[in-house]
Amino acid sequence: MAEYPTLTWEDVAHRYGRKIYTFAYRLTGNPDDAADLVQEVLLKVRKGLASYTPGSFEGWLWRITRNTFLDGVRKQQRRPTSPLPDGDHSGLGASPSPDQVLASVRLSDDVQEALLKLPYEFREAVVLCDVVGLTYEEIAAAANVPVGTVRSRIHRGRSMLRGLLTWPV
Amino acid sequence: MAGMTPVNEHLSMLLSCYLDGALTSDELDEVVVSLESDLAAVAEFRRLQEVRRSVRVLPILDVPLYLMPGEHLSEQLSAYLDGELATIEMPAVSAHLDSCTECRRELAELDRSRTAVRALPGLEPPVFLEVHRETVRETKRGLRTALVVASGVAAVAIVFTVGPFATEAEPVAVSIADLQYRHTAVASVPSSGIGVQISNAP
Repeated sequence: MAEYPTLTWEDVAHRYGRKIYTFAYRLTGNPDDAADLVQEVLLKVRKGLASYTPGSFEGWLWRITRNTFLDGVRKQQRRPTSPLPDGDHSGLGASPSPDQVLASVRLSDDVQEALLKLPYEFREAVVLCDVVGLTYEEIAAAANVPVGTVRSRIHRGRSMLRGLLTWPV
Repeated sequence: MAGMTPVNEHLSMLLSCYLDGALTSDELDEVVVSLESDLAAVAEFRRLQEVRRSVRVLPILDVPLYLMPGEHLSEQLSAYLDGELATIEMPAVSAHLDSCTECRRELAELDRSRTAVRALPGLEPPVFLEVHRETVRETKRGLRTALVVASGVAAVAIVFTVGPFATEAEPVAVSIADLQYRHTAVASVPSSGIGVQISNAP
């Protein structure tokens, strides 16, 4: 787990802004909600960094993100709008492997729609794991639940998605 | 796959965790044995793997630039001035303005420009336009009378002759060049007189 004792909020914005935005968008399907969340989280990070004690920065950041999401955006969740163009596949990670490219043949809009049909806890666990890239421990810290619960939620989320997605014959 | 016993929930969850490298060594042994000896476990693993890939290839999206430090507002500033900014954007734009001197300066300059344009005086129409308008009205009155009393070919001929004046919209027949000339002549207020000067905010 990385520690960032001298991280500024600008660093956080540049390093995590896209992931926070993507997290919210994948949970809501709404770019305005996603922009709201980024704004609120960055404000909280800015205020909170001064009192942040070194530890699991990822856990701290994603706990803020998740709680902000639950406190605000989720209460007045807007309808999902038409999906954002998902043409930009320049994720933060390495280039996709050939099998990832094959998998991407499935329209990401379908996956987004399926995600939105999952109960919140399962959707959140799957997004934090497979979209944001957190470990089970980091998800457990962010959601304040035991790791066993995270394992179960991710598994159940994936099982539900399997039923919601149509698969090529 | 027909004939295979479905994997139980526990093994299915372990297979999901296996994909994420989140198993204890005992669990890992259990999964490896299952995958080597149980076709149903292999099929379940493949299905979970496919689902996981489908989600993982979703792209990381770009954040709207104005939310990022070091980036600046653009078209949102004019919308902000005109009260046309979407309600949802208002908190983010306000917060950005609170923290960004450059955008505040840009907003102030846009505001001065906007005020200057809005302060341009309303112009009286040139006299010749009034005269011309009267002519048009007279022509139209005459035309209506003519249309009532005239018959057949004569009426059609009148319509074609004065057609351009017979529409409902009261067009003003004046060339653009004329208008520009007259406008320039009347709008003699110097730009400095209405405070157009743009300078940086103190």
